[in-house]
Amino acid sequence: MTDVDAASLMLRFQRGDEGAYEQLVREHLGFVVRHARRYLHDDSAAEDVAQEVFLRVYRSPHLFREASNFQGWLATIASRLALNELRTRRRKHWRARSTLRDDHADQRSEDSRDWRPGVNESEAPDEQVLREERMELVHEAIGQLPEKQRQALWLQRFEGWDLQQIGETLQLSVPAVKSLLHRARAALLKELQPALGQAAPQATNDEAESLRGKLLGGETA
Amino acid sequence: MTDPSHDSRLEQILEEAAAAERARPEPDADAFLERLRPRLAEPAPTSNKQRTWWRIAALIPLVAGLAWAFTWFASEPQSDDVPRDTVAVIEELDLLEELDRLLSVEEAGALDLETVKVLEDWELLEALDGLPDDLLESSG
Repeated sequence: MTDVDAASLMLRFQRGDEGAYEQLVREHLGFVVRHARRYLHDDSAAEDVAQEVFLRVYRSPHLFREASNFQGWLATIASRLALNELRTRRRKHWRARSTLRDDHADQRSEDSRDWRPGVNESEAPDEQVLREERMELVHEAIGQLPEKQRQALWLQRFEGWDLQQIGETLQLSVPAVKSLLHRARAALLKELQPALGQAAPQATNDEAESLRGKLLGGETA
Repeated sequence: MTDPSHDSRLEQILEEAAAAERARPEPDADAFLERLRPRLAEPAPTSNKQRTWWRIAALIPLVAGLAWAFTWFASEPQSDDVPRDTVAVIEELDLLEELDRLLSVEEAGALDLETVKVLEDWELLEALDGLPDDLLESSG
């Protein structure tokens, strides 16, 4: 869904069309949950944040300006709520359960998942462990970046946004976003230096394995 | 300077992380809306702005109370004035007249030891030092 569609749906919702609101939730729920999960590393807490985000959209639709980027607006609200949640958790010594939970928590689906990348059945267990470690390292390194840098990086690399969209969301010019991304990348390179140095790209291993198999099996190219 | 192989390796890891995220299942929008609907019907909680005004309103009596207490304490006699309860005790015991008499005796240098002892016991000499002259004169 483009932002123009989202803006026109918001306009319809501002005129009282509840169907337009539900459509907006359906279209953007995935994005909001993903965005919140990057901060919280927990699906259940990310859905709680998403509930708060869409509640705010419902209660204050007038705060959305037609010209602005709808997903950018959602990302801003979600970031703020997720950071609040993290601060509350720190204050409460990292209590396991989300503080955003409400009376409806018991209705929550049972299949709550934790922060782990999807499991690939065809992957060897040791490779799976290595991959999970790599993902953990990279998420940890991104998490240590200053707030604007990590948001810019997430939106560009994980959501595929262009510099203009990121700039609108973070209220920065395009050159400022470029510089932000450059600094984020430099910081990641520095932080992940040991990991980047030791691990050879998996593709090379796979290729070598495949070549060895072909040779041993007597296949000809 | 950055090792170019590290640069491409970082690129690869970021791409891998993004792909892993894309591979995760999308949240169930129907179940989400099902949980959200009852909350939409709830009345909106007090906004932060309103809450701030309520807090300010609640502080007004406290500030007024503090201001009154400050004024009251400021109007209290200073430490070098005669304490009010000392004057009251002296008046009640009708001692001012007696003290006036004793003082005139003291001036005459005829204060006997027994009288001094009584005055000391009652710690009245110290109290007398603190009394303003016009108080003693008015009592006479």
